[in-house]
Amino acid sequence: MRGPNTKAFQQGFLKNMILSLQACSEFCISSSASGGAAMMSLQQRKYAIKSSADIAMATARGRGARWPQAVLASSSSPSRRLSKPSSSPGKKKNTRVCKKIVRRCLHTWRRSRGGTGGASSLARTRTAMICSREIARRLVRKRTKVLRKMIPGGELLDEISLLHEAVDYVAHLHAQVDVLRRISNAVQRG
Amino acid sequence: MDMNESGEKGMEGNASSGAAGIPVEWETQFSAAAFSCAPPQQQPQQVPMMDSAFASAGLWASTSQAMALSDVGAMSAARGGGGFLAPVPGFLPQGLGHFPVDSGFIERAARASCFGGGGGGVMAATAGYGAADHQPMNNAFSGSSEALLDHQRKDGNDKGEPELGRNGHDGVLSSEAAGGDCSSKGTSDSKKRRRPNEVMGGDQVQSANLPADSANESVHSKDKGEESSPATTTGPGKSKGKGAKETSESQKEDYIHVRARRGQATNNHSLAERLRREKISERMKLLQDLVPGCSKVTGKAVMLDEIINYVQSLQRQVEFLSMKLATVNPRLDLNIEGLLSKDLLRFPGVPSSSLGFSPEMMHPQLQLSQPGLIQGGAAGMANPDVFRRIMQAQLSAKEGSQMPHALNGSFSDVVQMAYPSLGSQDLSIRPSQDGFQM
Repeated sequence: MRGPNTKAFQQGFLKNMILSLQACSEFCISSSASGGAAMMSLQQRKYAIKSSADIAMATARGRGARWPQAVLASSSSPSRRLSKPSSSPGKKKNTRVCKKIVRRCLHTWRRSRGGTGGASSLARTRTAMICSREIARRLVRKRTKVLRKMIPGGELLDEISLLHEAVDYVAHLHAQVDVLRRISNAVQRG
Repeated sequence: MDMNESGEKGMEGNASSGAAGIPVEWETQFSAAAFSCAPPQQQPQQVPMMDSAFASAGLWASTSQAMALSDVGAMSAARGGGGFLAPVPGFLPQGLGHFPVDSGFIERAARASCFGGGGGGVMAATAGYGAADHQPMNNAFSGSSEALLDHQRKDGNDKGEPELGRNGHDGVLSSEAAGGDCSSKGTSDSKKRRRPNEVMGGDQVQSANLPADSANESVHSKDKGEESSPATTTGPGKSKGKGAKETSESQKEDYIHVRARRGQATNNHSLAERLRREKISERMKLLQDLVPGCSKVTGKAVMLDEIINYVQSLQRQVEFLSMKLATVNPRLDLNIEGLLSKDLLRFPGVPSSSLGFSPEMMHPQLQLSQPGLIQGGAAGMANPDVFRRIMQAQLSAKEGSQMPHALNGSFSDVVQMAYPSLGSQDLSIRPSQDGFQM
């Protein structure tokens, strides 16, 4: 099977990247030759490289997952990819902190109430547990939503296949980073 | 562990793909399960998986280890409240897919029980398999296997017996085709009240058009109806359950029968939820292996958090690297010959010998692929046209101009020259990770 760390995948990826970058550079050349347009700015170049890497990864993946189609679809339509809002990492930290605080509070509350009466403590601990479970569920739901946004094509999937796609996507992203790093090192050296 | 996980995923594939496939694999699995007499609690995950595998194979008659994620997505999307049933008939031609499954299964069950007479009956039934109708066939099978079960019950073969009993019971209804011995089997069946799942078979096959046994069976199923109707999971029709045994009959409704574990609620909903939860935890475990530093983390929320962070970091790395490439490369030309000839060759990493590869082996592969390189590569999607189209769409959206329609001829030369050098080095050094089989 074509795992993301097989030689075949990485070679395919490289080949596709070369192809797309070639197409890109040709486009650049033609545009500059025809109209004398300015060379691509850094941002444009970076965008071109990144999108070509994404497309290369998606096409090298083949027919095994859902995210390649989403990547290709999003790249075919001329929509600018928005950068991730920087508030989400902060939000997650907050939720994690919140969860810890809530848990701590519940624990202390349980402990404090434990001394009052043995009969009611069981019910109270149960409610405390239930509350924490609900909180956990809410957190899970929030994070699932975030994960959906991050994985291409994840909006349509249900939880189980979302996790599956996440596994696949993470592995291939890893490979993509690897190849890009090698390319950049090679270009630097040469 | 690797086999375990791949087996799990294979089961997932069975559960999700729903395509009629070769019954051979799970038949062997079933025989493995049938021959193992250990109680379910002691066994590792594999045997319940085998059970569920063999049982689910009856539903989908698929044993493909290769999971198609798209199929998974489709199936999961269609799941829920009977939505799952919709794709299955599409995949299974009227339950024909599990015909060989049933016969083979019963064959093996007969062999497992070591009864010549019963085996003969099964063989006879198998012989007439192709000619007979669906219902009488299964009923004939079940009738003969019921005979086996009567004897086998005293053996105490925990594993094989319930499944046999289930299957046997399933066909008892219309076993008149087998020759009338089924009525006796039906009465003997009523004595066996241990297997709560049998009533499901009875319920399902009740619409069979054999009066005598159906009357028998309806009584029988009513007897058992109360105690085992909660045990059936009908709607979602999930195929996997750790420690849950599943039957292979699925004559009409393609239900999955899950046996509830001891001390657990046996609602339809709770069973389905339990299956779903188990699937999710399973995927979480896979993700745990993939995301570094998540071995000690338990719990969905924190795990999801780690995954999100990791994906974000990877995406940021990609952006950073592409920015770096853009700065180094003022013209996006990527001196390909220079690149491939010197630096990618010298890239450090695990040598190919550790992978079991050899550069000589890669050479013929690449040389074969060279002629087809420009035409479209292995994936079929790696087409220069694809790239041209996509880059055209992207760049024209930003620049507002058209792209040239032909690649440089020199490009193909360069690539063809470059790829022999590619063959002699390792581009992908890391061995494929465990548990990730695509």
